[in-house]
Amino acid sequence: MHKLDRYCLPSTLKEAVAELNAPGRKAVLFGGGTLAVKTLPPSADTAVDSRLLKLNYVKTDSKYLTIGAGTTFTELLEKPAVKTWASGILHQAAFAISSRMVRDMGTLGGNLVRPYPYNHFPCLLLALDAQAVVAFKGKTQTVPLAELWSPKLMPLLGTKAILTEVKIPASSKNLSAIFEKFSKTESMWESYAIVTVAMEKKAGVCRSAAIALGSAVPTAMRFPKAEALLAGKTIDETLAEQAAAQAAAALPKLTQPEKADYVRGLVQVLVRRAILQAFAK
Amino acid sequence: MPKTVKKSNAITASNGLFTVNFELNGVKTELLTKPGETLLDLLRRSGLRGTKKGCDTGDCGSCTIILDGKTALSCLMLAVQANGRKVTTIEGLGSPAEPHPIQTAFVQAGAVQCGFCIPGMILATKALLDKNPSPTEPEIRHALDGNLCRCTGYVKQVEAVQIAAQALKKQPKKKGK
Ligand SMILES: Cc1cc2nc3c(=O)[nH]c(=O)nc-3n(C[C@H](O)[C@H](O)[C@H](O)COP(=O)(O)OP(=O)(O)OC[C@H]3O[C@@H](n4cnc5c(N)ncnc54)[C@H](O)[C@@H]3O)c2cc1C
Ligand code: FES
Ligand code: FES
Repeated sequence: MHKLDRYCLPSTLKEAVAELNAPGRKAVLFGGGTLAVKTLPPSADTAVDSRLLKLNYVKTDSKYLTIGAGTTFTELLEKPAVKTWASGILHQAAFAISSRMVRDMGTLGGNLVRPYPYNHFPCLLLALDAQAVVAFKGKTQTVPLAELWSPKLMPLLGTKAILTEVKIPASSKNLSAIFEKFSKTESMWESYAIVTVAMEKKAGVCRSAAIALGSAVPTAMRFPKAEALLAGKTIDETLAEQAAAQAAAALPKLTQPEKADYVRGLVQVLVRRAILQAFAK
Repeated sequence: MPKTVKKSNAITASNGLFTVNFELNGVKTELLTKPGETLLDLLRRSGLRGTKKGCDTGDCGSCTIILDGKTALSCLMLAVQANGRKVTTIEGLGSPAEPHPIQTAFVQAGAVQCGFCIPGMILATKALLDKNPSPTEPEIRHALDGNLCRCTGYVKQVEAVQIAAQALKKQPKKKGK
């Protein structure tokens, strides 16, 4: 039995944060609602719909590509900057969201704030060193993306605090990048692994590389030791294999522990392949 | 009778019910909904059973509606979220006596078997063709990728969208259709 007795549509961030923090009330923020509707706690009494907050935008300046948290995947697909940024992997990841209706309804914010292992964007944006901007009690705070999933911040998001936008450093614009999702069928949300590799290259040398993994692990992660192996080197099969083995060895608890052997092998293959493809681009 | 209390862009439930005011198939409509009720359940409870309940989890697309010009899954929306918006269901498109060209095209192409997925498919097609009157085959497949069909192999449905696109180009534009 739901206790919901108030549905509000604030038009400013201030109003929305105030609704979420109203004394004696238990509010839930709605983006597109694709997860919120089915996971609404029975104790929630207020639904705060973010639809009028105008958080759907994509902007570029000399420092960042900034994406509003309320941007739907369909809106992302329509933005020219997204088409080409970092070899087009943001576009590719939005295009691969499993259903047209979810692309029309679901937002980037919802994808990041409740980072189901299978979600595309936690892994992808981790590889691009994205930052998250969070509004909470009259202040906005910019934090590294991974902090969204910290035990301190995560419970506040959508109940007391709002993710307003994601900032992707301009330095990632021309990175040579690969996004690969490995699932039983192309149109499945659930997958075995999502790998993102983003590489800066100059004169036939990899200057730096980011390797991120989603899906196989409960929370998207990077592999600093494997990345360090690639920095400043010309990449060949042997080096890519070494880095991939390093990544596989660094895997923590898996999302599907019963398939550990298969998933570890798969991650190693996907990482090696993505490194070679990014370097060859 | 429960009453809608409007206060700074908010609706408050009265006697455990929200009053939702929205445009349903071009007609201003007021309906009462329980907290937590989905738009799908409200529509079906109100007699609009063309919107189907397949999975109720967002996976099948049979509950697809058009919401302010975009597709939406009515099983993943609270009914109260429809307040102030424009909703089109299959009943808003055509009737057996006067079918919409997309409906005619689905029949013509033999794209309908049991018919359960078809309202969702047709609304997804409508949203596609409103935006892109000449879609390519990959564009059609991508636009219908959220609508599952257990009977056909999708080939006839892609054909139906192509036939509908041609038919609509020949038609003078009707408002809201
Ligand atoms: C059928 C189906 C298929 C899917 N397939 C894929 C897929 O292939 N790939 C993929 O990556 N994802 C997939 N998803 C997940 C989908 O991307 C997410 O459900 C969606 O992004 C969530 O966004 P939303 O706006 O609908 O969030 P909502 O459902 O509105 O909210 C989800 C949660 O996040 C909170 N929240 C939302 N926005 C904010 C914000 N700005 N600040 C703070 N808190 C916020 C809400 O309070 C709520 O707790 C799928 C989902 C479904 C239902
Ligand atoms: S009933 Fe809504 S997607 Fe299946
Ligand atoms: S025609 Fe039967 S499910 Fe599609």
